[in-house]
Parts: sequence; C-alpha cells; structure tokens
Amino acid sequence: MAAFRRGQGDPGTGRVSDGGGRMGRPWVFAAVALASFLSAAPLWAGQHALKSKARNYPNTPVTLEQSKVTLVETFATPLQAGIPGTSQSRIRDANHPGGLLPAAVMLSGEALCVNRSAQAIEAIKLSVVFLDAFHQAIELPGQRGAYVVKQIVESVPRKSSKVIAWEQRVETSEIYEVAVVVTGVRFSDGSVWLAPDIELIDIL
Amino acid sequence: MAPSRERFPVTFLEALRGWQLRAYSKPLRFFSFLVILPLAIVLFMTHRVNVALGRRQALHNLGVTAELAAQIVERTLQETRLFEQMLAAQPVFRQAIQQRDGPQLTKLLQDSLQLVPRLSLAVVSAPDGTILAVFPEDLGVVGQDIAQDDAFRGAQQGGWHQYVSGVHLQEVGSHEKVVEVACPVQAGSEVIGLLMVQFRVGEVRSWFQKIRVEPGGFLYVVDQHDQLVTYPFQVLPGKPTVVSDWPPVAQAVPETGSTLVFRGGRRHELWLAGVHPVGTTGWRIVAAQPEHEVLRLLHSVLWPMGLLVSLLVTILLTVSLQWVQLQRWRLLEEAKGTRGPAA
Repeated sequence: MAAFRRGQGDPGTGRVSDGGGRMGRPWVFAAVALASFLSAAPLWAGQHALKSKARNYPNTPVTLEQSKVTLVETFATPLQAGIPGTSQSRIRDANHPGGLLPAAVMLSGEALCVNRSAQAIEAIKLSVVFLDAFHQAIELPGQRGAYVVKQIVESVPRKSSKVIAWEQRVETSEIYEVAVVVTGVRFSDGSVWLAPDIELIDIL
Repeated sequence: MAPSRERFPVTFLEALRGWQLRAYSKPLRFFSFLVILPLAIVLFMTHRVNVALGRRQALHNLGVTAELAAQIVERTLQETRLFEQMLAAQPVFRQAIQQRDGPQLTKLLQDSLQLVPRLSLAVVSAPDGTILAVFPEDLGVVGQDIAQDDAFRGAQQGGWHQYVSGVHLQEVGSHEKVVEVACPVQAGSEVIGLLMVQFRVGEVRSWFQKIRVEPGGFLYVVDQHDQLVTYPFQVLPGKPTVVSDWPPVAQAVPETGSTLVFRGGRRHELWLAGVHPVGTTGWRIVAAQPEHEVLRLLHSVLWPMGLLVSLLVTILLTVSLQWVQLQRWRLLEEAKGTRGPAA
C-alpha cells in the first residue's frame, strides 16, 4: 500500500490513511486526550449534593441537625454517562440491544442526631420527604404517600449526639430538596415515642 | 437708639445673602448646610415615601390576589353545588333514596361522577345520617352513621341547606385531607337524604395554583374552623393544623376582604397579607408576602444611591478640610509676613 499517497482513500476499506504512520503527530494524541477528558466530564456530574432540611416536631426527644443529602447516579459500566435531563445512559450494549440502560439513582443522607431525652436510644424512625423545585412533594412509585420511612438502628446515649446515615433508591433524579423528620424513637427501656398525628408544616 | 441693620436685617433675601457671604468663608458649614444635609434629607424622604408607596401597592396587590383566588374557589364550589342540585332533582335519584336502593344509587353516582372527574368520592345518606351508597369505593362504610360528621351537621344546623365542610382526614382509604360539599335532597318540602361529594385538598390547591405571589409570597386557604386547608409548605401529612393564632386568621374578615401588616414567621419579620372570604363558606384565602421581598427592588436602587451620596460627602468633606487647612496656613504666613518687617 506504499503506492497510496497521503490523504488518498483505500479502495478496499474506504478508510483514509493520514500518511504519517501510527502515533506520528503528538497533537493528535493531545486532541484525543482532551476530547476523552471532556467527554468523561458528565461522569463527575453523576453525584451532587441536594438541598436538605431537617425538620423537628415540637417536644421531640430527638432532634436532627446539619442534614446533608447526596444524589448519586450509578451507571452499569464505568464508561457510561447519563444523558442530561433523563435517567438513561448514552451507551447501548449487547445485552440490551433494544434500548439504553437506565441509570440507578440513589439518595444517601446523613444528619446529626441529638438525643435530648434522659434515656438512651436504640432505634429511630425517619420520614424522608422528596420535594421538587416548587416545594411539592414527589410521590415515588410503589410508595404510599409522599414520603418514605427509614428505620435506623443506632444507639445514642442520653444527652449525646451521633451522625446517622440513610440511603434510598429512587426512580427519578428530579428531586430538588429533601426534608428529613424524626417520627418515632425507640428507647433502651423498650418505650416508644411517636410523632403526633398532625401535619408538619414549614413556618417561613 | 435705632437697631443696627447688621444685627437685624430687613428682608429675608438680605439675611440669606449675609449668611451666604459668611458661609463662603467657612466651607465646612457651607457644604454641610447646602449639600450634605439636603442630600441626606432627599435620600431619607425618597426612601420613606417609596417604602410607604411600595407597601401600599403590595397590600393592594395582595388583596386583589386573595380576592381572585377566593372567586375561583367560590365559583368552583358553586359549580359543584349546581351539579349536586341537578343530580338531586332527578326523579330516579329521589326514588332510589326513598326506596333505599343502594345499588341503583351507586350506579347513578357512578354515571354522574364521570362528568366531574375532579370529585374523589360521592356519598348519599339518609336524613338520620345512615350511609345509603358510596362511589367509587364502598370501603365497607355503607350503613355507617355520619350524623356527627362536620359535613352532615353543618348541612343540618339551622335548617337543611347546602354546606361546605371543614377540612379533615379521610377516615377510610388514603387518609388524605379532604373537604365535602353537602346538598340536601328534597321531595317536595321534605328532606329525604343528603348528597355529599368530596374533594382532595390537592384538587382545591390546583384551582388557584397558577396564581403566583411574586416575589417570595404564597397563598393558603383556611376553613371555618381555622384549619389549614391548603398550605404550600407542608412537610409531612397528618391532621390539619389549627392556625387561629396566625394574624391573618385571628382577625375578622369583612365581606370585601382586608389587608394587614404583621410581624411573624421564624425570623419574626414584617409580613404583608391580603385576606378574602370565600363566599359564605366561612373559608378564607390569605395571600402573604414578606415585606423585605416587596422592598427588595427599591433597596437595590436606593443602596447604591446612598453609597454614592456617602462617597460624594466624603470627597466634599476631604476637599473642605484641605481648603480650611490651606486658608489657616495662608493666614499664618500673612501674619508672619506682617510681623517680620516690624520686628
């Protein structure tokens, strides 16, 4: 194929030879490296912090403070990156020829739990509310009501505090804000405190 | 002895001219009275007048917003009342009630509710409160007594009449907050039953959801028992909150609506509110907005202006002080020059 000149197409393959040989031009590699770097950028956007609020009922034995929530989008392979605005990846693979692989969206949160009661705590019931950008609760499929209940088994000695963590798999990445409320506490003596059956509202 | 003209000037113009002549020699006083003080007064008055005007306009807007939302809610409730009246006027419906024919009543409710998809439930009860039929879900409530329910008691109290209930949790099913519109069914002058249709509060909210109170404001609805029907910042559901102590709810609201300024919220800040009743239901719509949000635009203009005035004043003061020092130095030099040859 030495007879082919630079830029001439190969009649057998239809490919165009650059004539410079493999790795002949460093700027090509630099461009490829830059393009790879830029295309990999959405991978880093797979995780971001959400606005989070810890809300407490009046006279609750446990208060939550410093709530933090992170939304993590997990893709099937390390090279997959999500299409902005959807929960789908750009990659088609042999196992899913008909469509794109959906991303798994996981919310992970933590908050400082302050035990204000005179007893040690064994477990805490957390209600986690997912809100959109217009402060409307998002009802997730398979979930009764616009919130999920998480049970955290963690011992917190009396008058002390501990960081508790929770995780929840969700179907949408359009969650804007998360509110976390303690709605039940199990003390070490077996007694249980439950939040009053009154709606909890945000006073601005 | 005649008074001196210098001590007692004859005219105002002469006095002004005399003051100006004296003031020129004392630049600090001159700038203070002719530049700094007027600027400060103008800025202060501009702020006060604009705050008062902005507040008055915002209160007017909030009053109009609350009135508009109240009209939308009242009109939708009125349509529901008309729908109930039309259903209650059907001879087949009345006959089914008189015969206590549950299946027939359920079928009629089913046919009618298809026309009004916003309704979540319809109930027909006997005048003693016994449930005769329910649609769409039976939930095992047929035969139960609802005589103590707010919708039934309200419709019965003071003679049978149409009534919009207060908000309450649905006792069976989804345990959502709901409200009912009750309408007596009459055969001649005799009341033979009560027809009640139910709305979820999310439905009530959707009626006026497009109305925005910008910036930073919102609308909420309170029922005749001072309970929150809809409130945009509900975190967790449960029994309705009683908000009798909230200033827009605590004060009596006239038929034409009212506005008020109050201090409240978590930060104990100033709020503006417009309140309007929803017809004769006892409900009220409140449009509330923090005052600092209303005045944000004004302050965004006045703060830079204030800073510019402060800068100008600082420059003028600096120049004046320099001028004074220069004058003193010249005077000292002149004095030295005068004393020199004599010495």
